[in-house]
Amino acid sequence: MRHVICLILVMFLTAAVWADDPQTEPSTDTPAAAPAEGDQPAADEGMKLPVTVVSVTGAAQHKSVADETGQWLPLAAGDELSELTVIRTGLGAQVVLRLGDRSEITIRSATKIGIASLRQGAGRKVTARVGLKYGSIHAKVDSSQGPNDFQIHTPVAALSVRGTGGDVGFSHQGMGVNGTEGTWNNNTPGGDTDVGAGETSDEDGTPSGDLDDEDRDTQNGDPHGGTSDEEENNLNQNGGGRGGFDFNGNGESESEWNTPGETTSSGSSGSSENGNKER
Amino acid sequence: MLRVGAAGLVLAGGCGGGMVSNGQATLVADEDSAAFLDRISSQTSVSENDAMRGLVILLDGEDSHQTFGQRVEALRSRQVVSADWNVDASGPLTRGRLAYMIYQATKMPGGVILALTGPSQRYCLRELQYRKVMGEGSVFTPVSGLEFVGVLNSADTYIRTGQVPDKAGQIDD
Repeated sequence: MRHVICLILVMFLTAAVWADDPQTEPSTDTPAAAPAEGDQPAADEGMKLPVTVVSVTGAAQHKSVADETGQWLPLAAGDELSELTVIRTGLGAQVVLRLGDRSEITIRSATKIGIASLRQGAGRKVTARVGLKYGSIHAKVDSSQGPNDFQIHTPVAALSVRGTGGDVGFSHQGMGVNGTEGTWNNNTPGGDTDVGAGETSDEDGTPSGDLDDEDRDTQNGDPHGGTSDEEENNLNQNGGGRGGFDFNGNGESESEWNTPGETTSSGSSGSSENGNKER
Repeated sequence: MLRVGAAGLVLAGGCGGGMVSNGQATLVADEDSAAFLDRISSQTSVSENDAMRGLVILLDGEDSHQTFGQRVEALRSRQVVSADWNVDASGPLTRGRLAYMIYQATKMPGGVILALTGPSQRYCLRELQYRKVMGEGSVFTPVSGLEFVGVLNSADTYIRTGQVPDKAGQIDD
């Protein structure tokens, strides 16, 4: 009888232990793919959309931040990529990506970008967040299919586009943005500027020499050729960058630098980058 | 007894007399330009070994050389690296040397002084600054990884198109 009671007690305690021991993912230094609930940005809501590789020329590779093996894989036309993918290109290379049914990005040579999120939400609104670490891209956003909230983040600014196109670059010489159609908004800690078709802008006065001394995202990369915790954190937080501005396509704008109800300034664009210079 | 220094072999250079230090230094094998640029981009400075690899990739699309010494000899034979330079695989690349090598590799037409005196680090740097390939700074300042990537890309675009891209990466069609 005593043995039976002991056996029952053992069984009861064992059941209690299993019930209180939830299975959890092993912790790693790399943050989970989804941000904490309290910090979850709007861009993470909605249906995930595919990123299709339209064409590839030259050396180009991609890596999924969610991939624990951490391998860079060759990129090929027809590949379908997901959020949290990093792409890098070599000299003379070019990659064209189709983001859902709404936008197209041409990644030029010597460029590294991260696709932080691509989602479709209510009212067919597509939200996209892309991080440009170095190099340049041409982006074109089609508003005929529905509203867009498309942002490109660089280490010095955040650019919002809506039904528009243009070129963005970031290098040791700073950031440049050229509008080819529609309107971009270039938001930096020092202010923001609208960039229209045929206009240019930049980060407004960050000398290339100062970049090395500042805590820029590009200085915190992984020298061993992977993706660093910093890069993954920035990607998880929708592309990183120093500013943010949401232009929601309904004619109104709201900036995280301004209180609701304020309008942003719409100054003229910066000067062209190709002015003459005395030797 | 012949003693080999801990830093590696120091090889006498060719006719120009420039010394090659750490000539046997190696780099990651089979590194294509995308991986190379990514690795370099986050470095605060660029070693001369990496710099030579970058110039070889710029000219040939890939680097099949095993050692720093081999890269130096290949670039010297093409007059991209000056024969009288003392080079060190682990030494930092300076802006003057980068400007000289890029100028020689791209065969950019220079100004009056370059035409009269031939290429020098100082005037090659000025020429590349004028063309917005390189930013402000002196000949002896070390080059950051990000700048090296940008300069290589501009040089590569110039070789292919005859134009240097603007800050947004655009060239005239």
